[in-house]
Amino acid sequence: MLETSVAQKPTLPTPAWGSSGSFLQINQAEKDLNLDLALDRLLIQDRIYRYAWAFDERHIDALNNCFTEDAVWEGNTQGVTPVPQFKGRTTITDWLSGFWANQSDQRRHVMVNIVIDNQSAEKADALVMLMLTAAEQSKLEIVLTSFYKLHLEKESGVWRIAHLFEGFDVDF
Amino acid sequence: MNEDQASVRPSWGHIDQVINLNTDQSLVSKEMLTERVLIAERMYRYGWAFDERQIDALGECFTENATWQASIMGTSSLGPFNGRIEIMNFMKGFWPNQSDQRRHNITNVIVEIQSEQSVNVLAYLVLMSASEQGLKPVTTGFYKVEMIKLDGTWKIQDLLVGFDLAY
Repeated sequence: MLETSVAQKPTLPTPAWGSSGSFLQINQAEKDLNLDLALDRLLIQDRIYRYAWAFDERHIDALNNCFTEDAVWEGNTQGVTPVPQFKGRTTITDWLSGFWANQSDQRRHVMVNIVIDNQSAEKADALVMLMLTAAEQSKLEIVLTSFYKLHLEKESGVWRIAHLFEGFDVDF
Repeated sequence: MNEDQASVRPSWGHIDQVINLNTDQSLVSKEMLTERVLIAERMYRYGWAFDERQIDALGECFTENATWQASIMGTSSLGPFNGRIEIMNFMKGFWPNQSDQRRHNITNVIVEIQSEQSVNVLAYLVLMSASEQGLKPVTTGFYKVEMIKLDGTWKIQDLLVGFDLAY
């Protein structure tokens, strides 16, 4: 009887692939946050939620306003498959809104677990978890989970996304 | 309402003009920004009170003459129920018939129009159900809420919940 050794194929996603693949880093919590920075965190959260609202309600003007003029959108699936990079507000939102014609369901980008790092009066980084749902024909599905790693900048008092990285836990 | 629609239409809230999302963040004072902590908390307390079947806490979420109504995908509606007592009677009427543990996960809370005494709020809902049959998502949707400040406390004056599924 021949004995064979079969190499075990790794399954994807590898747990904690964001950290192990250096796509994200969990930092220590800020100490002694002052009131101005704390209030700015509300607006940073507001921007993250508005990104979800704008996409799901297919509101292109609101979606455009989520990004700086020279923003970058990029991503990776499970740490193994890069998503092409898109540069510039219009390029990004043209690409994002291009999905709408092919999505007949009601998507909800449910944003949770927002943490903010490296915050100053004008800049901040944020990590966010996403649960994407889709409702259609009496059926509700969880489409995917992912994380966002964001860099935001303040323009005339308004926070906008300057860099967005989305890490997808599932292939889609 | 269009009774002929059998399934959800993507962005139906906008199509039916139930929602008119602002195109950008609004600039508000520090004081008004601070109020948003309590405004969001009112939404979360509404979820807690219903799921924990605390009728007094649920009643506290609303003004005396509040209204509550629902739209199911823009194709059918429920309510309006007028006044706190009518709303409470309607809501607690579900409890004897729901043997599962519901969780109203309320997220993506944004403030649209804000003054010192009133505010318009939008939020997402992901309704989950836990029972012997397991855990399942029931529906998603949104809340469109007007709150007013009474004696320093934010309370719901008008609530519209939009469900993405009939359930």
